[in-house]
Amino acid sequence: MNCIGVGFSDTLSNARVMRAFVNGKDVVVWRSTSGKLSAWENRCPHRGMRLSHGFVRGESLACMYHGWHYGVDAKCKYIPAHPDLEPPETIQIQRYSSFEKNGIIWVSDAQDAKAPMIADGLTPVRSLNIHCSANFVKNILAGFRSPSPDGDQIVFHVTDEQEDFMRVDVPKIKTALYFIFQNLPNSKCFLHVLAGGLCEAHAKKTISRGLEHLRRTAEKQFGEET
Amino acid sequence: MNPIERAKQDWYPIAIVNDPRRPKFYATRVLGRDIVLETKMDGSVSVLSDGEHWKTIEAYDHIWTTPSENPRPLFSIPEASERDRRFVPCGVVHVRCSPLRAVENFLDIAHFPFVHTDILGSEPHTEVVPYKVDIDETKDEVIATQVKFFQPQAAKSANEGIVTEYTYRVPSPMNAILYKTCPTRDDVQDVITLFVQPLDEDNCAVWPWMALYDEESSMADMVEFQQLIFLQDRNILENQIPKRLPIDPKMEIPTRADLTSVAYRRWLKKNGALYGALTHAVDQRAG
Repeated sequence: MNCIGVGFSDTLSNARVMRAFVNGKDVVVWRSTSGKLSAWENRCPHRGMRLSHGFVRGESLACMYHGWHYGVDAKCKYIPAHPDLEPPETIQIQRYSSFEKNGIIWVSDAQDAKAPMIADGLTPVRSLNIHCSANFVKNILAGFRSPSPDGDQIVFHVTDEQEDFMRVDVPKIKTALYFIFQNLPNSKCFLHVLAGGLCEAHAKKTISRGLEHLRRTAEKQFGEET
Repeated sequence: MNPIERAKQDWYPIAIVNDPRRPKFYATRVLGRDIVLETKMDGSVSVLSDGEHWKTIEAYDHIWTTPSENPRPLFSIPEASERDRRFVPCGVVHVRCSPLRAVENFLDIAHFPFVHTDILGSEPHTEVVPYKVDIDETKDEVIATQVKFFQPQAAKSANEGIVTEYTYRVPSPMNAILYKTCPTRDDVQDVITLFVQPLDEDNCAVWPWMALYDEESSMADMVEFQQLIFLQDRNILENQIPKRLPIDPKMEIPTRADLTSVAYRRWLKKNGALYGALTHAVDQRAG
């Protein structure tokens, strides 16, 4: 996997912190007060505390346990127990690459991470937290049919599968959808869906209903098989 | 000696003496073994594990047990025989972390402003001034003295912020005792302990106990105060990676304020008391 979409950009405001999982790695994603985005290993090297419980002070992320501050370069800037001490350069956290594209936050743990290959100009539709693995959802996604209130059906056709996303065409709404999966621990996943063009409220509602049906079906089948 | 054999030599708290809420047969765990504490009509107790009888004693308002036929003696707390103190068993808090992580956190003051905000510490009073740490060779205990810290509300009985002075004793691997400035009297020190029951290497139950000079606060208020503190600590302890206490100094970076923790880890290593410890570097990102 190159990049993992970990959430919509607008769900992480300035000076806020979130937790994400990238290829099984526990990751903290945060935005400084001025809006700079960072993604790091989710662990303070002092006592191993998860930094996703921390808080933002200006351009630093502070650990919740002892308040050690780390700048956007992931180096320790301040140790509150010793206010006059300049922390050694060697105290620093493993950094990951992060990107923002199409209103999605993308993180990669690869050495040579490249921005996701997905097209520009897409619009967010919605996110779903699903209680089964991403692969399980992908397996039932191809050709999945969901009844629509007007008696018609919506059908998901997978037309492209890339490392970072899946393109899904839904004939009824005449716009391509882009599915972005993030695996979570304990066989769960996050699914973020974008639309190819402008997506009216009515179309969004139809897609949303189809996605909820997909989720229910996936979770039910997953429950039966495991 | 391997870690489990060393751990089996000690006594562990499993219940509060004369707790009316405890059922006749109370099932719990010690060092990964299932045990049942039976309380008979006359109040006497016995512990069974797989049909095997374990010894029990009562001390410091708790019932202690051990799998050993020939255990090390339980450490002494002389203040427990001072009759004018109030003795307060504070109940139990279950924590998904190594018993050693729970003890180490109890020895740490630098987290007070961030974890026990506006109670045991507050910004900008974050500095930890130098203090002393020794090993008491006769008792084989870790001792930290002259530990000073500004506290907005040091105890239930404190009305305003004071600079509290602490002394710590670690008399056995899973127990720690703290002596601190008494907010209402200059001539004595309050005693607060952390007795840890190792359920297994990654899970523990902590039994705080206090011996205080506080004639004002109700028992319920004092218990509630300590419970609040330990629940705040639990949020930290269940989010440390790895769960077990790393003994390899390369795995975590200490600073001067962590002198007690450094001494504690070395002392555990020297004593082979490594149940709940991580002795070699592993991939810390897991879990």
